[in-house]
Amino acid sequence: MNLKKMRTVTIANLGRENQVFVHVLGICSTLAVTNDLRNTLVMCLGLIFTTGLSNLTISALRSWIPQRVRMMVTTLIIAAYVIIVDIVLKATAPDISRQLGPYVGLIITNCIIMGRAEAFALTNRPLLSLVDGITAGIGYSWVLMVIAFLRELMGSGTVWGIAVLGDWWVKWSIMVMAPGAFFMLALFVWVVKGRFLRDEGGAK
Amino acid sequence: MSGRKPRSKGRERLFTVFFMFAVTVVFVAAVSAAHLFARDAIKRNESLFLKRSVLAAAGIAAPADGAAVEKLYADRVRAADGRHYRVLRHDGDAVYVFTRRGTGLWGPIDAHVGLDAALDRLTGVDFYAHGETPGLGARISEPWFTAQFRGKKGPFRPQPEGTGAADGRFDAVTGATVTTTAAGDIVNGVIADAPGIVGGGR
Repeated sequence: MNLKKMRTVTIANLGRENQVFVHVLGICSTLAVTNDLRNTLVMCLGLIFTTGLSNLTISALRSWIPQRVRMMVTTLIIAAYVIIVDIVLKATAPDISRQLGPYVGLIITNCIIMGRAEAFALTNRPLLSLVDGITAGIGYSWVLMVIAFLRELMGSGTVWGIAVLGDWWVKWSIMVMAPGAFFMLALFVWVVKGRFLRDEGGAK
Repeated sequence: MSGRKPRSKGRERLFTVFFMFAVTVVFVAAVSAAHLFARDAIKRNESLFLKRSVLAAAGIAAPADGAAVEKLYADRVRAADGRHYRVLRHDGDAVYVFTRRGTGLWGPIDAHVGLDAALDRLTGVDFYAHGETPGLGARISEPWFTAQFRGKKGPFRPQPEGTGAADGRFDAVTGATVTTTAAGDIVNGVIADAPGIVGGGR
């Protein structure tokens, strides 16, 4: 039964209940870090780690967390994990850490983590919450990776820093700048919602 | 949550305070442990980053390997005082690398600027710390921007992107006028002050 629930949660997080293009959460980082695949992957791993562990911890503590300070407790727990991610990155991948700059620290304010903690971890068992956190993170990650792939390809003519489009390709500088992220994300949401989530269209 | 016995208001409050305190202690301890554990590695990375930056400003290509950078730096760089370094090049010439801070759009910009032995032409520039807008002002630390100063004679004036090839000219970053001006001011400031700094240090 538990396995079935985990499957349901996973499928929902990757598709119909996706945090980015259905709930439209975590958009700030979606816009900010997706101009380079490598940075995006590191950001995604950081987010998966944080959502998974914060969900697990909050769920394990859920029967003790006093109702009136629950936001303080969740923020504290999330912040602790994010700082650990930041420290580990600084120690092991200084270049990426420098490029991501403030965005790693800003994982704390990523609405997805707080959203999963509030909406899921406070009312579900720890293991299921861990699965939910990780899959919500993966749902966020695949969207970001697709956007980053397209932006890097069009904006710099490269994939993972390797030039794949030759000299004939005129680089669309706007794709690596902030406005490119808005265009890409909007197109992505349009295509996915219009093509695959049709039956639900306009329900909200 | 339903499994807990109802408590009196006072005890509930006390528990809340105690709980918050305990959770804080546990997580602050975890973060501190991570900090202590990674402190040396972070310090090493940061110093390596600065050493690479000094070498880049001197026009010396730094190797990818960390230990090789340390060795190269130890062999070639002599700190003269807090504000500049004397760097020996492969051809035996000494060049000077200066540290300078300028005012960017969002905060300070720190740079290493290298000048040749005659304090005449630039050997390299590296903007190693800044908080400029990613994709716009932050492009001053990209190779295309820093490389254009190498071998040129100052003082510098920014030109529209793609037209600043001559001595005393450099390509501005389109859409980042404040940052470009700051970068130009840093380089010009070093050129102006260099004789005084080097002369005073001798």
